[in-house]
Amino acid sequence: MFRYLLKRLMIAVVVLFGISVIVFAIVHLQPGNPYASMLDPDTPPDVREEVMRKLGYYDPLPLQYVKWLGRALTGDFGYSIQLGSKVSFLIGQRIGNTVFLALVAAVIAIALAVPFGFYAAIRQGKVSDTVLTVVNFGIVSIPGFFFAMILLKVFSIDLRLLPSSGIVTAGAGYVGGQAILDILRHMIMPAIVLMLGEFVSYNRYIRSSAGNLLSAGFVAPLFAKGLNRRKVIFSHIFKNAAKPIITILCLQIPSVLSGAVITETIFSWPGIGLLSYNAAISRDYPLLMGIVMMLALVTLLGNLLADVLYTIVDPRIRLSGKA
Amino acid sequence: MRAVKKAFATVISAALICTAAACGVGDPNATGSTGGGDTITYALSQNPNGIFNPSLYGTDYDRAIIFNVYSRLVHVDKNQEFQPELAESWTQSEDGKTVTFKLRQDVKWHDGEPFTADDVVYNYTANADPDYPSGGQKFVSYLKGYKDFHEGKTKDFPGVKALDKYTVEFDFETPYPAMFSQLVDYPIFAKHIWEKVPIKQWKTDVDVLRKPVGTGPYKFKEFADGQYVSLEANPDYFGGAPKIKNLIFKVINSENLQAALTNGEVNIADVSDWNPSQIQAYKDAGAEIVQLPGSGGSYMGLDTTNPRLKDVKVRQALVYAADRQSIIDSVLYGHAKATNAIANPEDPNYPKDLNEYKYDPEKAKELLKEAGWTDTDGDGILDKDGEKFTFKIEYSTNSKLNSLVAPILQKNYQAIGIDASLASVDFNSLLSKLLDENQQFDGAFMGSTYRLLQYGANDFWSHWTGQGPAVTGTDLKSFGESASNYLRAQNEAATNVWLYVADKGFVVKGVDGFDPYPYETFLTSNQWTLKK
Repeated sequence: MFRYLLKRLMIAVVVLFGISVIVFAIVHLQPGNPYASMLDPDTPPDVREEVMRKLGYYDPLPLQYVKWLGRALTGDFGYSIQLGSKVSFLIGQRIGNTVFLALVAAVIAIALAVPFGFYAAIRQGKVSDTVLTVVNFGIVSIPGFFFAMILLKVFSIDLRLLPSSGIVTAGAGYVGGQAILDILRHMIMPAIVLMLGEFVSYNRYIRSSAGNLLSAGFVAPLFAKGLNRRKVIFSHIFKNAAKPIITILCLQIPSVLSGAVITETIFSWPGIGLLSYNAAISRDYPLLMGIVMMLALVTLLGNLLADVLYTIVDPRIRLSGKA
Repeated sequence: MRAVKKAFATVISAALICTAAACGVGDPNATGSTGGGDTITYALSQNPNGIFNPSLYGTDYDRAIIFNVYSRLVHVDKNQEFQPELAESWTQSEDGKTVTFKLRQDVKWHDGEPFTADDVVYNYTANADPDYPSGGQKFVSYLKGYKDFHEGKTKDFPGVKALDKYTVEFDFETPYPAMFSQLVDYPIFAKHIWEKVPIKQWKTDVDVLRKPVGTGPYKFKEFADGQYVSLEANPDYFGGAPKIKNLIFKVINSENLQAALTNGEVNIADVSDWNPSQIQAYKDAGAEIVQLPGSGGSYMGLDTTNPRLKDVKVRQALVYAADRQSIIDSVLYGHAKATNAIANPEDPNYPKDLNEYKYDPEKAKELLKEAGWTDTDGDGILDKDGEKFTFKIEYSTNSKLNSLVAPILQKNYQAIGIDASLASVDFNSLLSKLLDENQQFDGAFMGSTYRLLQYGANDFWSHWTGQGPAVTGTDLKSFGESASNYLRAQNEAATNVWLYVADKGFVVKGVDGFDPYPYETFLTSNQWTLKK
């Protein structure tokens, strides 16, 4: 088990390194000079050249990479070209908001997916199952931003129930319980939009895994034993079908973090999605590298966690000598 | 089975309870973020960068905050004349090389410290400093001793000095009357705050940058990055304490604006789309539209070093062939003005006798014929010495308007026999191409704010820098005349296809006293009130 973990960790480090090289190359080989808009157009060319030299623009690419790597390893991702402040500061400020939203979205997704998935599994082949399947496909086909617009129209414009953007009511300065409720009200719509994709995949997963277990070989003896339907489903199948969902969750992390861009833009939710979009558009190299490396790290850790959890959750793998 | 139903029921009821609770608690207007009668909310379509130093800011969003927190030496009035603000009065020497300002004596910084001439001297000395993390205000480079000080050869900067506690003198190497327009654009920051930070770090010291201390009508309260900036009234403001206690700048995506207006979450916002149905939607939400001539324009720069475009007749033909009024009518729904030079038609120095280049495709064809371009092989495309007249229109994808205007121009040119094609790139790539003097292009869309008294900055894009008469003068009058001559020359040389100067519009709901005019949106912010 331990050796398995160690091996996976080393592979993760190598992959991370490889990602940094590839992304660095791609970002820097694009045409266009990100520092172009930093200076006035009528700056004399020799002044312009001096500034760029100081910024290391004329260094050969491998040298630029090595310089970047050296600082990155100490946690210094440099300064954002557009915004001026430290990259680590900018990311640190925003990432909490995205993680919070993603977490809430995940919780809602699971909370809804489990009962619906089970219901579909039990009623497999019947009308209610088909209806649920159609609904699932419907949800997946609607683009996130469109659904967001619908929610906005219904809840913000027509019913005037929920605020249309932001995390908190600007300038109101709520504290304690009121603050929590304020955040909740702002968060409901973006969380729902964000969780749609996840909901569908968890739903289908539970449906098929529970469905498989229901027709598995060990079920008949359970009934023969005299257990009633409820006990069979709840105590045996439910637990076994639901556990692996944790691993799926870990694998969904990167897509949720990146999918948040559109949601965050529409609802002005101050998270990492919007930051990375702006960084990409303005070729803000340092910020872009910082965000990409962070996302890569999170993805790799998520994968690692998924693998580890899966071996814990499913004793068959653990004991089959993979360790 | 019942367990599943139970779980399902619990989830749904929990969600319902949460929503109900969330609605019940809180302020009486259930969704409004405008917390009652003492707050005005202004929408920003993007998050400010948080660079709240009035000399270093780069975006309009930071500018909105800065112009409420800080004050300037002078501002402009509706006739584009300079009026006193922090400066009570000023005098200029005969030769224009010395400008002396007398400052107000009753101004305090938001932290209670007095505003004095030392603050002003510090501002401009810092702008000239070799470590200053940006270009520095242009007029500073015309002051005495700038070169040596900026290169680090001397420790003193004689170009600006304090004659006494409330008098500042600027000494120029060569007179530069345009300094006044830069004074309007860049408010004054405090010496006692910024001298504590090494100049090199001014753009990165977030602590000081994000807690601006100024002399303006509103004090800075809070910056929630990505969400809003909240300001509160300065009761000691020298121009009269603001009537509304809280001014909040909220980041609201332009798609969301209509929802926010209906909801009562915002009072004032910019109009970015003049589509009549969008305007109607704003009106339905209870807002009124305030429209005024804008100060920013869009144009297609022509590469004057391109062999095909070297002949001025060819360039003039390109302007005659562009149906600019039709562009204004269809893309901007008529909410723009035509212009025939890179300057605001409302600018007092904009010559009244410019060639208007009224849409005339026949005249365009005639000019091209005189330049040697005719359709010799009957394929519909003009040619000369075996070369076909191809023309690539390049524009950046950043602006939605550009992508609507470019195809219209393409059609205009194809109608007179030019093989016009479109090329769209992202802004950064376009900018790099234009900055590279070795790269040639045909036509590239650019746009900018036409600042008062700033002429010629955009010639760079047409590779025409220095080709027009220089704009100089010892005082505003002679400077203005020289500027008019320059604009006439540019108009004659047709270095650009000047497209339009778009009107500026605001959506206003529930506010009285909002009185914007070109270059000054927030001048009267201390007089804004909420309608009952």
